[in-house]
Amino acid sequence: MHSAGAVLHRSSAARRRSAAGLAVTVVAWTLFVWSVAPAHAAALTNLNWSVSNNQVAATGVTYSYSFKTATTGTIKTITFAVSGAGLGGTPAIVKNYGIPAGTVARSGQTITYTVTTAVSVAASVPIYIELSGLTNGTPAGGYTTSITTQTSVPATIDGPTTSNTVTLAANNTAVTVTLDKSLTFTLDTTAFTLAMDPSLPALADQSQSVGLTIQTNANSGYTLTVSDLAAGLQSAGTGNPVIADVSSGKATSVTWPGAPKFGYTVTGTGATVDAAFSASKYAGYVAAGEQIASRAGPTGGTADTVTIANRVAIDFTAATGDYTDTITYTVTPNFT
Amino acid sequence: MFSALVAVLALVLLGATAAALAAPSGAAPGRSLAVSVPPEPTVVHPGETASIPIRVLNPGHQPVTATITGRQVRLLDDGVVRVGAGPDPAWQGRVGFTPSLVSLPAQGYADVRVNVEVPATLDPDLRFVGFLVSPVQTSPGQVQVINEIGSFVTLDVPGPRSTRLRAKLRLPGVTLGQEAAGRLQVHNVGRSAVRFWGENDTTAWPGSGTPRQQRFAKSLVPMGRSRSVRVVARPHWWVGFVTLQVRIVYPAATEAATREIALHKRVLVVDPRALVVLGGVLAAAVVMWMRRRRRRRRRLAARARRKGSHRQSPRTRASAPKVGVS
Repeated sequence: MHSAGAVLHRSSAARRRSAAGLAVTVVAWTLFVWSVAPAHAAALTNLNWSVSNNQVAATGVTYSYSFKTATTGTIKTITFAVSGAGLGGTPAIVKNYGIPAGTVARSGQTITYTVTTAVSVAASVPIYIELSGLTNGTPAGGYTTSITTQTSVPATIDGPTTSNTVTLAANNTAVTVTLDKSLTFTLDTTAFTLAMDPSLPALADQSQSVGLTIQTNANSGYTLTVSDLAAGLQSAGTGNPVIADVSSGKATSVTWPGAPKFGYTVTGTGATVDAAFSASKYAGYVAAGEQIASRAGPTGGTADTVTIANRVAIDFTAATGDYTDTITYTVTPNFT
Repeated sequence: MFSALVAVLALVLLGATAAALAAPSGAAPGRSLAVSVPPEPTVVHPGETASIPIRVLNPGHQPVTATITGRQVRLLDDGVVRVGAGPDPAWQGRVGFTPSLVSLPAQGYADVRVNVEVPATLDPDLRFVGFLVSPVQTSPGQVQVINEIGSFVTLDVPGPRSTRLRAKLRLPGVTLGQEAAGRLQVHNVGRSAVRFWGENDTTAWPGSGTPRQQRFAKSLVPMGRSRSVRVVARPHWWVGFVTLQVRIVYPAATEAATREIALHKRVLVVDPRALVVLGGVLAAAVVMWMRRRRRRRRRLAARARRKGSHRQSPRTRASAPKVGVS
């Protein structure tokens, strides 16, 4: 009896063990099937496809795809299966955001972006991929792209999700609007003359402001430099007398020291004026040119204004005559 | 002697009154000039002649005559461009402008072609052709003021190139403020100019796990130059850890593949408002503790007094001196 009971115990324990094993196997299999089955992959969201030229068979076309991931996963490849036929060209990567660096290749109607070193991409991450060098398919009609993200297994993470329809046509007009990098530079005073007299303080120390306005759409802004011809205001009279510069450049800018001197100071709105001109400090012009103001981004709709106050002060030590100079302001758009 | 006393530097208003002379005189009217260049590089092939369109414009209300001349350009760090005093020796005799002198009516413009003879032995890379648009000065005056615009066009000689970037993220480990802000410095250590792009994905703890994406637009870094980009990360709460995952992407030898530099940094961000609130809470806690302590002391003292009076015997109480006013 005792022995029969032990056998019964053993057999029920074995049954329980095998049942548990079976349950584990079923759960593991279910998890495996769930993880690899495309049917269970979530759909990508906010998917958008646009082309730079919608003429059929057009070459050198740029395709731009943007979407958001639905599931966290380690993306190795993203496939873009374009509907229809006739897709051609050798694609190049123009930009990729939200996904690491990689390579791109086309085979038939499918473009594959392969991530060099796959990393986990969280859910809801916006991805943008821009590919150039493609040739549109034929014939005219509506085309879609089906996008799928996959692991290196490969197992589908998200998709396939179908994009919006892009209409390729043969009888429409392809419009390309190119906005040039433009810069406008305006000067409110192209020349000035100061009638000076050392007998009267109001006539012995005079200033002339030159207003500059700059407007640009250059992403990195601009740089404004200034230079002159001579070392100060120079006269053509005997001995070429000069009214000396107030300093030998902006690095040695000073508060106005008094007569006889020639110098300038800078103020501005929008632009970043060089710190050498803070607290109304004056500097002398240099022939080699010096940067006096800049901006690191586009000006937008409102132009930057830069005011240069040119100041001349004389006393009875200054020789009579006509003193001249040529001041050149050069604006250069920064590169992006 | 008399001339020394009346040292008139520019007697353009002879005979005018002293009051009239007190004001600066003879300021010539303004002048406006604008230049437009293609935003993207123009693809050229070695040995061919390229013609790149540019436009010189006069947005002002006075006619302007301008000259266009070739100039050497130096591309410096952070996109700064310096225009040289003379033509670029690298393009000597190979760059021309058609036309090189333009007369622009008010609100008018002229289309100019930059004609470049591309040498047959030019390595694949981005090349830059600089020029200067300068107005012809016609205004009378002792001090002449000229507004010039220096610019350049970019040529792209296609082909595999040697690209290599290095990047550094400069950001303190702890920031007192509403956001962590730093600079990403990208250096071109390769043998050709590179246009890079990238992003800064930031996550915050405590907070959601979905990263915020700060995208960096395509930027050019010439050979041997660097470019800095501002990176920011904001926590979800007044105090939090932000993790910046910066990625710089640029074309490899060909544009069918890209390379990447990934940088990672975690920063503790403490909003000063959190410190103010914490200070307030601490101050309130100290005040409450002190008041409670004082109240407790008073209670204990009162209890001690009560106990002391209870301990006094009726005989002691009777013998105690009586103080009062009748």
